[in-house]
Amino acid sequence: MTNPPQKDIEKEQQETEEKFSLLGLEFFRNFYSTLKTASLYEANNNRYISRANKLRQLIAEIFTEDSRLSFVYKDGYFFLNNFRIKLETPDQQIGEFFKEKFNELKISGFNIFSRADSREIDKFIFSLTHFKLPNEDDDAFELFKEKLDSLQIENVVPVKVSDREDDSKGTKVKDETSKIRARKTFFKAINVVQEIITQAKSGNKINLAKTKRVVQAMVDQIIEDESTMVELTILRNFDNYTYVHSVNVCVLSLLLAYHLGFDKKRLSDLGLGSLLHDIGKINLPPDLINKPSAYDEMDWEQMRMHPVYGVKTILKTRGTDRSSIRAMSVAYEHHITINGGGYPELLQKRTPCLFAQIVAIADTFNAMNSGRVYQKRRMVGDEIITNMVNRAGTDFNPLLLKVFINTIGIYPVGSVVKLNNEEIAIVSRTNPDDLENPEVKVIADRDGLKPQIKIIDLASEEASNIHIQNVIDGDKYNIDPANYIDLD
Amino acid sequence: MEQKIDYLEIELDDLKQPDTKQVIEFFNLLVKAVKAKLVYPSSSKLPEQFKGNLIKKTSSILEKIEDLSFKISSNNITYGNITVYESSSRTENFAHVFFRDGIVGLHFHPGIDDDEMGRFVDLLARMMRTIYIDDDLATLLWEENFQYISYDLIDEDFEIETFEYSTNTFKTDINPSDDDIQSLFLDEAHIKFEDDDTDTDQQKEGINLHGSAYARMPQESHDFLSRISEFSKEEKEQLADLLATDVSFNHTQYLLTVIFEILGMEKELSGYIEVISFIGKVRDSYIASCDFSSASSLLNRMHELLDVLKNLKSSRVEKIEEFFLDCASKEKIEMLTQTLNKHKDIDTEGLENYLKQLPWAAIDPLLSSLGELEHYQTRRVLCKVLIELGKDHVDIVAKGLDDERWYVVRNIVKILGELANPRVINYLKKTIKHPDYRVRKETLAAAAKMNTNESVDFMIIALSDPDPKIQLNSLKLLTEKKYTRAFMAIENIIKNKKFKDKSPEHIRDFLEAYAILGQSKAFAYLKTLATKKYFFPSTNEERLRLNAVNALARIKTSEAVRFINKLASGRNKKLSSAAMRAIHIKKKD
Repeated sequence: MTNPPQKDIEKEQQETEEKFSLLGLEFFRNFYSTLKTASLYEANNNRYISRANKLRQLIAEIFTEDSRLSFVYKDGYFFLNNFRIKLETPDQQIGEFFKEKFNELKISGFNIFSRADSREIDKFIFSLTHFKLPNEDDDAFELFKEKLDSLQIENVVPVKVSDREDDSKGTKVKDETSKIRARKTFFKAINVVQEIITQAKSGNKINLAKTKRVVQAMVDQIIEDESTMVELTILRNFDNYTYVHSVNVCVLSLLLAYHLGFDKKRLSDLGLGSLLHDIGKINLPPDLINKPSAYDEMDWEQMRMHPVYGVKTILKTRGTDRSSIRAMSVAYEHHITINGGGYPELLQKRTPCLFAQIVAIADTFNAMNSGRVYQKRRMVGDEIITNMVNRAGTDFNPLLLKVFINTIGIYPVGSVVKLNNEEIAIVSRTNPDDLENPEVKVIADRDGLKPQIKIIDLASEEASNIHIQNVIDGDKYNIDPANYIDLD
Repeated sequence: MEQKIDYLEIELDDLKQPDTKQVIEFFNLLVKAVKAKLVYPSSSKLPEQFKGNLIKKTSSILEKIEDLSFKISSNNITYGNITVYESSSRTENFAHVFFRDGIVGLHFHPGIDDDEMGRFVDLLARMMRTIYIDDDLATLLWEENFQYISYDLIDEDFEIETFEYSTNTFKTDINPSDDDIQSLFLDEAHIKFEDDDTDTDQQKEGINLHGSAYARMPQESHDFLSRISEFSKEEKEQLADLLATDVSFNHTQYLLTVIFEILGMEKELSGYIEVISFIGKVRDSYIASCDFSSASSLLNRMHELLDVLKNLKSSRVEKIEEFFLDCASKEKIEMLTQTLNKHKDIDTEGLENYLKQLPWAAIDPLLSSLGELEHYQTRRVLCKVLIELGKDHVDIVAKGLDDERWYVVRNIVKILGELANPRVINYLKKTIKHPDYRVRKETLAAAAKMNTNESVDFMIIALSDPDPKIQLNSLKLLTEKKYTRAFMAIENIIKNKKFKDKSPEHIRDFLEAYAILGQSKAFAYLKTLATKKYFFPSTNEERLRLNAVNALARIKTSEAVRFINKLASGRNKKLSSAAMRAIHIKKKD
């Protein structure tokens, strides 16, 4: 008997992978729709029955390939039977829903065995939809399991978040909250940028491994809890503007790319490129960088050289490895607009590469959101979004901008807002499902400053009567959003 | 009964803890699989076999245990209390590869498949092969995103917080007072009063946008934003296309595009020179990584640029010419040679395209390289390139003939022969006397390609070469090309007393050549040889006579034909059968 040729095996593997990838995406969407329907209707309602039937057909199809259906979330990605589900951008919201749901129950997913009948599956769906933890300190997994046992659900088994999944990530700092980890990563990144710039100025080789480690830690952090990282991007420090700006642009670029569905390798390369996007500025006179007044034409002429200097600096201090070439593409093209304009002025106009398109959006947003050296006032959230939307199609790729706004919100984190109940608040977290109604920290009302800061999720039922009425220029009233971030 | 329970418990314990021997065996297989990847060439099946053994072992061991975990220190790797690997070497130390990058624990989990294990082995082999400056094992493991292999990492920078930046760096003294809040509400009321007639919140379909900036935005932008959460099918497809295009991002092509764009932008000569030096750096990196196709594209772009600028006679043209001279320098060619010797799977087409674009100044160092190259395929490419480069530089190519190594000289003679330049013959005069017969043989072949009087002289000289094979080669060439001038030389040889003592093949070929080139002039002597009577002929004399008969059949004169027919019908059986055989062969020819 002869073994099948290697090529055939590879082809078969590829076909299986493609098949499961498609089935996975279909299951991901169908399961979500069924859960949402279950949250609104009873099991005997026709709408639910119709939706559940579709899901059952899909599950049956999966069982023709394998005797088990395994749906899990791990390391930032969803998997069906160990095959990664390649999500499209709009699916990210569904992903957030599952992440939150799984996190609440302390599960990483569930297994459905082919022995499971439709009643068991229905019971599981309703349990998953309506389960509420009695007390915060209770063991969510155990209680959920008990609930399933009481309903005699034996063939749909939740998968507990294992210690391994909690501990096995590259950046291990045990017993720390996500916020502390995010803060450490963020400050570490600023340090690394400072080191890079010092190395580059002295003509020494940039330590790529160290830089990649910090970028990878940022990616891990974004996958785990993007809102904490995003909140940190409102920090500003005029003395160290370049360093902080580079890190902020890195976080925002990674965020956009993560929602676009980049894999880890590409996220790592993009992170490196975005950290180094302004590296060319080391060749500009410090007086120009720190000029307190607006730039004149001469200043701009010099400033417009920094993308070219960026390429030269990377060539000098790095090699021509793939990551460095990617970094070069970002440094060189992040001021070239989507229609080929901007600078440096190209003899033959072309569309900038995807990495540069992403960084251009993150760079512009952060520059306006933090205020440049000569213009310390930061722009107000709605002004920034308006400005960028007006430039969609000419300066920015409209689709990327659309995805970006979906991630940072129409009231970006740090925006000072007035609520319809006459309270003044700071946006602390975006709700991807409900961009109009983010989470806010209420700091004042007509009577003055509040002694205690109150957090309200405007998307929640409890706050259904409260909404944003207007966006306020915080600087004008000495409201610095950075002072309201919980950093300690 | 009790005994039975004990037995079961022992059995369960065994199931929980795999045999330590098996764990050690697993680890040995892992090390072997990595080493096989390092030692054997990519074409060998052995690394795959080792990998297969490892995967089998992994599956069987993970059936017994959930997490197969190892602790790593600088010199050893342990499973529980058992050392599974130990080495004090710094260069070939499996433990150190992990430890130097801060990895202190390694875990294998059930569910691991062939692909993941294979990628893990490949990655370790890469890291064992060289110390990566740009990446470390931790960053590469992260990028691989393994599902069933995890690791414990100590990052000192994260553990010990010594950052210059901390929370305090970002805390400001700017805090609102109650007065600030009061004035905020006053301003808001004022704005509200002023804008009373206008609806600042554009409430239409889609998202409600609250904010004065949103109220002022153009309708098109407003439409865009109010439907920000909706993605049409076309938009989804466009996003997918955008991502797909980026997957095929061509790093090499991109780098070349950018670097030449920057070169074109340089207004100052100093900047221009700097970019040229970067181009040199890029070229060096391509060569170091054996990417000759990219190196060739780079030179091609430089040639195109030179073609555009050459009429300007500016300093910029000079700089490009200097760049090419640098490519052709001894130092750069030596670097290239070292790279070629280090790698086995060379892109020979790319190499040839690259080398062919070098200026003639590269000939001299390339000739030196010819003696240093270890692989036949690269020497072959170099010879082809030198034929191309040496067309108008015979004298430079010929310098290599002074090399002490016979194989270098032979290759150069071959190149000179291919150049088909009459001047080459002067150099061949030297090599026709070379002590190594292989050089003389190549010289003869080279001379034959010249097709001049002088080249015939060469072949005639070679008839007296100390090596019989060369003599016969030369004879063959002379006969094929019908160089009748060689007749006298051949006659002198065959009339020599010692001629009859030569090998049978020698005697046959020489007499045949004598007949073919001499025709009527050769008849008399061959007739004499064929009819000479010996009382007691020796074997050699007999052979000489019979070969003379054979040669006579090659003479086309009527006198010779008559004579050979007469011999065929004569009484002497030996001569008769020799003549008949010769006639038969001639007819066949």
